[in-house]
Amino acid sequence: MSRNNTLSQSSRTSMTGSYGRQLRLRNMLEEISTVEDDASNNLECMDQTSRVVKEAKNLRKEGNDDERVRHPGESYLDSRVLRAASDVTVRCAEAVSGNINIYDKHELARHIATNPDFWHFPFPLEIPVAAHVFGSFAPVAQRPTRVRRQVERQQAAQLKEPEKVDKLEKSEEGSQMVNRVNRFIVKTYKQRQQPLSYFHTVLDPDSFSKSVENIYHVSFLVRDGLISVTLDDEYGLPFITPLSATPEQVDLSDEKQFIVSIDMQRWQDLISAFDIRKPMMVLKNK
Amino acid sequence: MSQRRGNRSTNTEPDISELEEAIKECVHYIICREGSKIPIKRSEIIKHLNTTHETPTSQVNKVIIEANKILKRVYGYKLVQVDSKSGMQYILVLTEESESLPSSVTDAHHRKILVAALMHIFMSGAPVKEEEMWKFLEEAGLLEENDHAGRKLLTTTFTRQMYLQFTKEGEGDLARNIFQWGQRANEEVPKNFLLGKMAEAFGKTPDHWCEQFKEANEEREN
Repeated sequence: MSRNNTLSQSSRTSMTGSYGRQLRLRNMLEEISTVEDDASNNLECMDQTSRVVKEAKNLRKEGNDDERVRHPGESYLDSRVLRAASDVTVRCAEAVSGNINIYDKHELARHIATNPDFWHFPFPLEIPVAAHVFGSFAPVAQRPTRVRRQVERQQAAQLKEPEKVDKLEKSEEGSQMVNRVNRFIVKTYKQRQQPLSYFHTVLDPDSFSKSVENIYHVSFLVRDGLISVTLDDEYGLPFITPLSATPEQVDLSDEKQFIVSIDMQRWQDLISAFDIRKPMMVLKNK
Repeated sequence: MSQRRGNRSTNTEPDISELEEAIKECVHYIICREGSKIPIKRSEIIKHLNTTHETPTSQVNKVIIEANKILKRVYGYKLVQVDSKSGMQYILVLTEESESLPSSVTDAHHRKILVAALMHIFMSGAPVKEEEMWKFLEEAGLLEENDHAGRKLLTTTFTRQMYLQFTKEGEGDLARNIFQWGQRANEEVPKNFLLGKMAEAFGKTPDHWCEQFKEANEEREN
């Protein structure tokens, strides 16, 4: 009965909409599948089943056809409930006829538990099993149980799992590189007392990928406002100038963005155009 | 029975004498094999007779019929053909009810479980769901909770012996396994006998359970 209450309570709570109804239909389905185990007799079983069916019917009234079209799952669950209910009914009907079955399984179980030996008997038409006909009459060879060969199994190799990627460390590595590039630029700038040619700085005549990496690192420095890349008035070429100013002081309105694109062909063209023989920026890799 | 020759009737007498050894062997084989209670396949009998007495397959039917006569006359047994998917199978039962002594080779505990299961199904008047059966046997103190090896006794051993039928009913989520009486139980266990046991246990008359009483009487009349 407590189950009964919780169910009707949950249906009274303000769970509206198709989702709420589906949830309740699921509950009903759950309930109906256990009703046979929980109910102590057929009658109670039928009562509970009919209550669930009634509940499902009411639930159906709450929604309208439009909603049901949009949420076919609801109708599906509804039909499932009905199906389960009809299954229960069929089984109940099988067990019931005009007369009431007064068999009490708990009573029988208790009797068996207390008088187990009463329930040990041969069946009237069962032939007594012939264990030894004519003394030691070898029964027809039972198939010898094949002894299973113990297979020496190799100990399973230690499970390989991908190295835990420590994102933090990785990013630190990246930022370390950026820092090194920054230090290099600042140092070189101090030594020469003039802006660095952008292309000379980033291009590595021996390695395209290294050049790309350099461009990448420099772009971070620009973004962080540590350096600026400006076009030279004289040649119209980009030059790098370190910014000593703290980022707050940078006037954001003045900021312009540019896109660097590079491919193999362009890289080679630039190297020959600027006559770059060896990389200017040599960063020691740890 | 695939006798193609017309001279069959004239050959009957000498055939039998020729087959006498094979018939005896067949009787032995059936009695011994019955010990396991697992139905005897016709193909197994054929194979056995082929190897021991070189009985041609075409004669095996005749041998089995004669063996059955001996089983009946000497032992009071009869072969019953049972349903199976894989060829013809037989079980052996008594021709008439009798009170035998409990067999020394049958495990007493197993027998109690079997009796309880059959009784529960019969008294329920309907197939019993798997879970309900476990609960009942647990309550009867015969099977521990979640004793999966013990459950196998019902789902496998008794099912193979055809005391029980263990089948799936329904589809999808609603599917459940149910226990019913197997063919051997129907052959060996008269329902009014079980009802008599119930009456004895609870100090009632069999007609106390009128539904079951009716069913038992119907069975006897058939």
